[in-house]
Amino acid sequence: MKTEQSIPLMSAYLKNKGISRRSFLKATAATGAVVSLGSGMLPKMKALAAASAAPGTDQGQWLPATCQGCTSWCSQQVYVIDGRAIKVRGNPHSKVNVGASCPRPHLAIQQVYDPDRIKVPMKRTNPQKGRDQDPKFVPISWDEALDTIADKIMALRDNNETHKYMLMRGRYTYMRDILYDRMTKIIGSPNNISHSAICAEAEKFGPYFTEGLWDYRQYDVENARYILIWGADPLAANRQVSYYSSAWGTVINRAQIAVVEPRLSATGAKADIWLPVKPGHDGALAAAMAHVILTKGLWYREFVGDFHDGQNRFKTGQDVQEADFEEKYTHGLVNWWNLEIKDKTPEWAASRTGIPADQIKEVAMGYAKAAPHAISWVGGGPVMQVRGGYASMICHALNGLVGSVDNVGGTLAPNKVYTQDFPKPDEFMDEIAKKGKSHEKIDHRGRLEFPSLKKGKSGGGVVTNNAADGILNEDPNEIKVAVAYMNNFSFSAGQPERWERALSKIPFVVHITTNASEFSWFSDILLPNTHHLFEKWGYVKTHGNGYRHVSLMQPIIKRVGDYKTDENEICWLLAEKLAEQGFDNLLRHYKTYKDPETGREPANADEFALYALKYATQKLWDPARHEGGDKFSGWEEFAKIGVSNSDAYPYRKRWGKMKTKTGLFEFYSETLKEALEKHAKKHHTTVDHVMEVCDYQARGEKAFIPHYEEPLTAGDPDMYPFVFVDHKSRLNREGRSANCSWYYDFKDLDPGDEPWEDVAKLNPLDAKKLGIRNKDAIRLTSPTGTIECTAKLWEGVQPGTVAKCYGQGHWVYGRLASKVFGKEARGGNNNDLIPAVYDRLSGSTVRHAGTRVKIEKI
Amino acid sequence: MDTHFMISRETARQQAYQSLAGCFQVPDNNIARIMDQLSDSLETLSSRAGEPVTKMRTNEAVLTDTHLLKAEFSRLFIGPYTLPAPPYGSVYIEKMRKTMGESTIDVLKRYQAVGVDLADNFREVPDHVSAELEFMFLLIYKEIEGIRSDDPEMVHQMLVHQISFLQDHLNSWIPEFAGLVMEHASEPFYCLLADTAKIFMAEDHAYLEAVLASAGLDKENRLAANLDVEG
Repeated sequence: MKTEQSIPLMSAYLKNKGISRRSFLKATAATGAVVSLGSGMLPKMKALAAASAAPGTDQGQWLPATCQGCTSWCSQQVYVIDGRAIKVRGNPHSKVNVGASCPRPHLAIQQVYDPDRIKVPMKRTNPQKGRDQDPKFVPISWDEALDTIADKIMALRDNNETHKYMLMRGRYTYMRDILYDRMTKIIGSPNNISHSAICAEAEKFGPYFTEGLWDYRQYDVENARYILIWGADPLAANRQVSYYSSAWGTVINRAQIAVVEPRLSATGAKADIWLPVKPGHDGALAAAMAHVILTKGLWYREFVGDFHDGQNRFKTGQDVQEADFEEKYTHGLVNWWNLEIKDKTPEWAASRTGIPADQIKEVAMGYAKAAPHAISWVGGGPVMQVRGGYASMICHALNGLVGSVDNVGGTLAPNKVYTQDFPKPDEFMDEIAKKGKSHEKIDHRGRLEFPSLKKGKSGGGVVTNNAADGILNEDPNEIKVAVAYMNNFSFSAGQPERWERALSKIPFVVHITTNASEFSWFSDILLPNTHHLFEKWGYVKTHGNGYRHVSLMQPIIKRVGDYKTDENEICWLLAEKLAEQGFDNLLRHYKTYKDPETGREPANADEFALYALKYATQKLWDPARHEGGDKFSGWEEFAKIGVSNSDAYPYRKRWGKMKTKTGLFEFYSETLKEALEKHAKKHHTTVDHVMEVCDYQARGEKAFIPHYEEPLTAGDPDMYPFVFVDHKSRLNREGRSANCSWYYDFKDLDPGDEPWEDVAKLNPLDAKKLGIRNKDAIRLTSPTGTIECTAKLWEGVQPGTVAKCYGQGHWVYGRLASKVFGKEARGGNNNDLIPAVYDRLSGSTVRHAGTRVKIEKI
Repeated sequence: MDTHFMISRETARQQAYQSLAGCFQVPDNNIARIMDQLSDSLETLSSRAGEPVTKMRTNEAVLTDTHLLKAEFSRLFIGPYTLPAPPYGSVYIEKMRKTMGESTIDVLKRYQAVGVDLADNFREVPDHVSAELEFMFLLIYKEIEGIRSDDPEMVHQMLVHQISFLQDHLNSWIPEFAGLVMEHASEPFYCLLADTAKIFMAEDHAYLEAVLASAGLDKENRLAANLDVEG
């Protein structure tokens, strides 16, 4: 049959039947309206089906959401039309971010509709694993994926080796315990490994061992008169970026702002004073500031106390008698002076820090004169270092000197909120599970060389990055089955090549994530996760601006792929599969998460996710259970508003009642002394030996006080002349921005950076010596790795250092993220340069002052 | 009026779209049967696209053991990694490498305008190549129903929908998409499939233009009508 024959036939048919141009116009108009298709049945189809509802006439509405693009965890609203996300703004109902939004959530629109997302469960078909081995993933059904995972878990249980199961946690919500804790325990493994120690655990070390607070602080910036910031960049990264960015205009008008940071940060660029400290010497600067504050008699007497006779005996180089000073809400000030501060003059510090003595005095005095409305703000910079725990203590201790702890215009703890834990798992843990869980953890926490003293407990905190070595060395045992979610340790942890080998060694790895990453590359099954801002069930708690909010995550758009939520839906579905195979403990446990409104137990994954969320937040929305904060008429209203705020901050309530051993703010930490002595005793040794094994310089009582320790930076200065300075981007959505074009388009939002480039920033004086010009391709080499990137000459870094933003250098992750997929990275991954070393007292992985590098023009 | 002849030709068009839609879904054991239908329908239409299809069918091993084909399909059209040939209209039409754009919503509205929506178990975006091809299949199916029930208005409406959809959607991105498939395919099957789709849809588009032009409704008028609607 020829086309030429059928054309006249069809056109004649139309003409003969009286179809005119007029009716043609009418028909064309019908493309914008529903046409009756008559009474005929639809043919059998795969992609399409009869519409169940009338076409959308939705004009759109703002629906509540939560951003986890960084750990600010701002409450958001998303404009949704017909199930599609259009735009994002801050949720005006939050008292933490107060309707403000930073640039990050806008990138989330690119993420959620990224064509490179994992859309369906997939399985690896290439059994070989390695960077050069394409996994050759193929799509499978959820049933097949979950059956396979259940088979592997049941095999462990059948062989009494459930301790060889491992759960790795990256970005979580507060639904986390369903997967991270309850599932791991009921299966029977000790190995739930969080990402926390590659985040900023060392930041919590100082506050804990001075004021008993193992948490991130909030800063009362609008009431502050001096803000001294150590290696934090609140206008760009972590935490409360939206709130601080919104409030900063007011803050600048009211307060003097000094930023201590080796490179000029976004916050530094807006500050009154930038103190470009030599990397790793923050502790020396803080010690000298304490010295100035004490010798000048500028401490805040209402908090710290005074000499009995009012005469200041803090004289450089001279010991003070403890009995001469009467402390009020602090402990050990004189001891601290005698052991550490008395000799730490500004002149002494100037030679180490590169900051002139006069400037140290000026800043210290300005800071102390603003007491108690003076914040010493400790970020990741000085603390995520080898020996960083003590820098965390000494920088934070300045808050104690000026009485800003828990005070107006000072550094505050999180407010109390009334969420509740999920039901306990204990009665669902059988003998296999109990025995399995009793094994040692794979990350070696609590060993002599890893005190990891979270909340004062030996082995209390995770040593995330060391888990790779545990897996590789099968120490304490091999890992056979691993489930990981929203993490990418083979990119985001120092010396990531170890993770590549470790993951290749595990026979069965499941990765639950949104975009297939360097971690997924070594996995056997990929499960497509929901996107936190638009598709997930969950909630988070976060604090700032004197409040704490609980912000909800709900599925507010149509999921275009076959995504399911990591921390609830997938858990339920896997529990059903395990039950089918005869192990129903997990499912029976999950069925105890009953709907608080109806008392019904969940019957499917959707109900489980909803009931679990309602259960955890019941005291916030149920008027009968209300204990504080915002009031709601019920779940429906809470779900509609999407955020609940705590009561306002109760200033000074913790003075004298801190959770330290003495109840006081400890300049001599009895709390740390007890923790270290317990750890030493556990290993039948001395604290000095612990210090030695863990690479700290302190001996004797110095181990118990905030003090300066010299940085321990890898690389011979002759061979590697530059100290490497890592920093974070205003647009990094927790390292998940690399496949978003806007990330590259707007990269120059980060001071010194360039659009569509991954630049290493050198001081022009250094560049001249090396013969390097702007835009030259360069190679950075450390003792552990090499990366290639682009040179940027910039006065915002000091000579002898080279600064580079973390986030690029992916060799997979999506079409935009890598230059030549699977082969050549776009830019370089900073972690390739940074060795796997630790601040062992907190378990933290080192990011800063961790290595020196050499720079070569390519 | 020889409606039988018209119906058999339109049925061939319908089956060609249905087969192509099937080819752009995860391959299973039905692939050989789908290829037979595609081949037959293109032969009925005397399409130049029959040539690459003949080549596709020569490799029987590929059609009987779909393991290799499935891996290749995943790599090209699902990911999870580089996704060298995204099978989504918006990626090409809107040039943003983004799904669920305005053009996607336009596709969805066109589906809804004729009373259909994405099937619940089709977990893809509305402008996935397979859904768009299946939509063409549906429009032709309805057109044939119109011929059979002597409902010329319906026939006419369905033809208008078809040409409009080809012009605004499928044919505005299939050539670029086919180019990417041909560039990145490591197996001849999808390379030839892309070629087939491109050739067939260009022919079909021309056919529809010619039918409407012969009926006294030229392209200019049709565009004006569309503008009226949108304005």
